[in-house]
Amino acid sequence: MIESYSNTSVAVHPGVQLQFLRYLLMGLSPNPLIENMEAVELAAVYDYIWEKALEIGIRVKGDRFSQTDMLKRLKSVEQYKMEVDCTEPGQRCISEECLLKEAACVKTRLKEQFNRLYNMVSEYLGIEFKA
Amino acid sequence: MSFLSIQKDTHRIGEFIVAGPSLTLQKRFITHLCNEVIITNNNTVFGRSKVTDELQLFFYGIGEKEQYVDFAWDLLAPKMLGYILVFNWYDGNEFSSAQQLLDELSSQIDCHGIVVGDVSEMSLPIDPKIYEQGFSFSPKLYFTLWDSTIKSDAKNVLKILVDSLINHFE
Repeated sequence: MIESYSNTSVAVHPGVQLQFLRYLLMGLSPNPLIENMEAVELAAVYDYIWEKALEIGIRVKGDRFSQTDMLKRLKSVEQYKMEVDCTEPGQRCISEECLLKEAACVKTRLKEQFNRLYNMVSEYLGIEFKA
Repeated sequence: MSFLSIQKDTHRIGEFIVAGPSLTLQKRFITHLCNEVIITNNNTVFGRSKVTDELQLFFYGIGEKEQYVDFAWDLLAPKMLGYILVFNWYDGNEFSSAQQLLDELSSQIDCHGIVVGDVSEMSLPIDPKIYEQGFSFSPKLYFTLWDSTIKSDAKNVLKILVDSLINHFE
């Protein structure tokens, strides 16, 4: 599966999408789901959940919704790279070029972003986030 | 005039499969949408809803027993407009069954569908406007929540499914 990622993006099973969505709407941390997943699949799920978080933000806040505000709540690439002492160019991290070579690092970064995103969506929904 | 009379005599049927781990929920969903509901001795449910004199919608709740479910899918899937997969949102076992069925269906059938979590067991602390438009998994596959005790919620589920069908008109 990892080999094929260099040519095509990973298709996420709808059952996995459903599971992540269920945790999102129940205010639960997705950590138990993340543990057993490969970084490459996790990256695809993150894109999906990011899209749903935007939809929820728009539905809750309407015209007052700002994508920039959402991005500010996530950890920046620069901050993450500094924390893990990474000397690679920032663009590699943004475009997830390290997905194959540094899967564990990508997974750690995504895990934190997932939790920040889930926490943010819980606030939008007006429910408690259970970390 | 004769052309019109021919049209009037032609009955058209749109068919939907209602699946999921709970026959009770299948039955409740179909009952909310249909004025005529029949429960067979195979624990399957059939519902008919008349849209106009010429157009009717058939809903097949295909039960829980595997031997009937497989048979029903083989028989109905090729001609259905779409499927509705219902499950109890709060029940972990039902969720796992629904999740498994969803993955099987999406890998075997290229069809429109909607996954529906029933939240009637406990009040959900989320504004319904957040989920009543549904969330997409793909252009043909949607998800929403419904309160199975409220009739209009079933109509909303069908509306999302029909909207996704209309979006694919060529």
